[in-house]
Amino acid sequence: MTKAQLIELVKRNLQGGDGTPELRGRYHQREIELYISMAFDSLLNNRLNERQEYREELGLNNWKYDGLTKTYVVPILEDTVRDRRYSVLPGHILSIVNNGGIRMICPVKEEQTQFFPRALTDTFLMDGLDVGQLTGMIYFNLERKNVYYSGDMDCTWSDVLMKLAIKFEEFEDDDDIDIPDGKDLEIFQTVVGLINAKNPQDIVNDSTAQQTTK
Amino acid sequence: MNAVNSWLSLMQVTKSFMNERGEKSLANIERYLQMAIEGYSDIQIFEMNTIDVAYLAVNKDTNTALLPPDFITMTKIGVNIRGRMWTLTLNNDIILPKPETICSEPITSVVDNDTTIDGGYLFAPHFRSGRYIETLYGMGGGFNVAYYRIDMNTRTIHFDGNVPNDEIILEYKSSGVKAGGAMIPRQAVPALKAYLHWKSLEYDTRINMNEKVRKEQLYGTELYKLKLLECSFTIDEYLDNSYSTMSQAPKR
Repeated sequence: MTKAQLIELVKRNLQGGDGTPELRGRYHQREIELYISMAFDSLLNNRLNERQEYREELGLNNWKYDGLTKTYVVPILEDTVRDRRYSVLPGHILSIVNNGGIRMICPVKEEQTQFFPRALTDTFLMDGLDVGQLTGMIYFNLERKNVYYSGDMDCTWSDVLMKLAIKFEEFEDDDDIDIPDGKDLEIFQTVVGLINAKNPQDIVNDSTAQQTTK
Repeated sequence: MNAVNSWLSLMQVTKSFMNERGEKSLANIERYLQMAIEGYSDIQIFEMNTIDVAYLAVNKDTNTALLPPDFITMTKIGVNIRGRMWTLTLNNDIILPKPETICSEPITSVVDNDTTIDGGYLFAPHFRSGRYIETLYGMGGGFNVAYYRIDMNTRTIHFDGNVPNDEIILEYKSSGVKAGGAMIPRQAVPALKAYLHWKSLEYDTRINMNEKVRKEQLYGTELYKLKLLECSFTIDEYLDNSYSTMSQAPKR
């Protein structure tokens, strides 16, 4: 199913009678798109939290969400003030623990040479340990939309390959959306639930106070 | 498929551990690598028989040599005399200078860069006409061509006496991890992975005690297997040892 088809499906469903009368025809495509995005985030994080009950930080193991991953070739830029190399994320990534939305960063033609994720505070901690002295390691850390690199990075690289689990709104209309097996209904119900949680528009002329604020 | 290598890198062992754990995210790989370094260092120091060798230059001015960075303890320290390692003698009476009082001026005594030694022995042990000739007959022990004392605080070896060619050979126990990483012998990999399984949950208060103890026991089992291999000897070694005390004599 493409992104446009999924949005249309939700829209039709709301208009076709499953939604309350107040909802019908009142939701713009962009709004539904954002709600679906929230539903994906919610689904992912719920699954991760279930897993974490047993073992913390196992992260994104037993659930294949690579269907939500898109590949980009991103230029490496130079931050002359900090004397560091960085790239700008080409799109919004899924909000997952441990920056799990960044599935992979590597040289463009060397996918086996993966860069390792580092939390901001890890730099101080790990650089002081033996592992910080190992050669051949390339790290990245995320600072809002910038990905900063450290370690033994080849200065001749001008681009990196990024595989990102991006938010729903980042897909093109004709991109296929890979909903995890058996989770179609959950996504759908979450979206309708989120839309229903919104207060309906007040169209009854029974309060002068509300009218003046609108 | 080619033959399986007998050595693995730290990264390979860590990946193998993560595979066993079912962990595909790289978020914790640095943490595991640090544990692997500590684990292998522990196994290397206390369980394995491996010995490293370093050829250290002796500073003629201070009569000292710097220990290798991965030095833990030594098994032999000596000099190369005609192709054979001549071990030096420990002398704990050598006064260790304070680092700031080490004089940079050359020591007045001249050290010859050859293997002619005053005192101790006149020639290195050697074979002559098929016969093994040791040092001078009747010569006692306890004295040597040069003496040494190790100062672990400054990671320096201090010498007293003549060090031929200003170079010493040090056979030592390494921490196991050198610059750039380490190569883990395959027989040590199960023990190292068991160590990682144990240590990765040892300090997690949410894990029950049974699980922790079980993981520690598994580590002990793997260590035992490793020790069995490390301590085993070949049939030739056994026979050499047995025959070394045997001699022929005329039968009466």
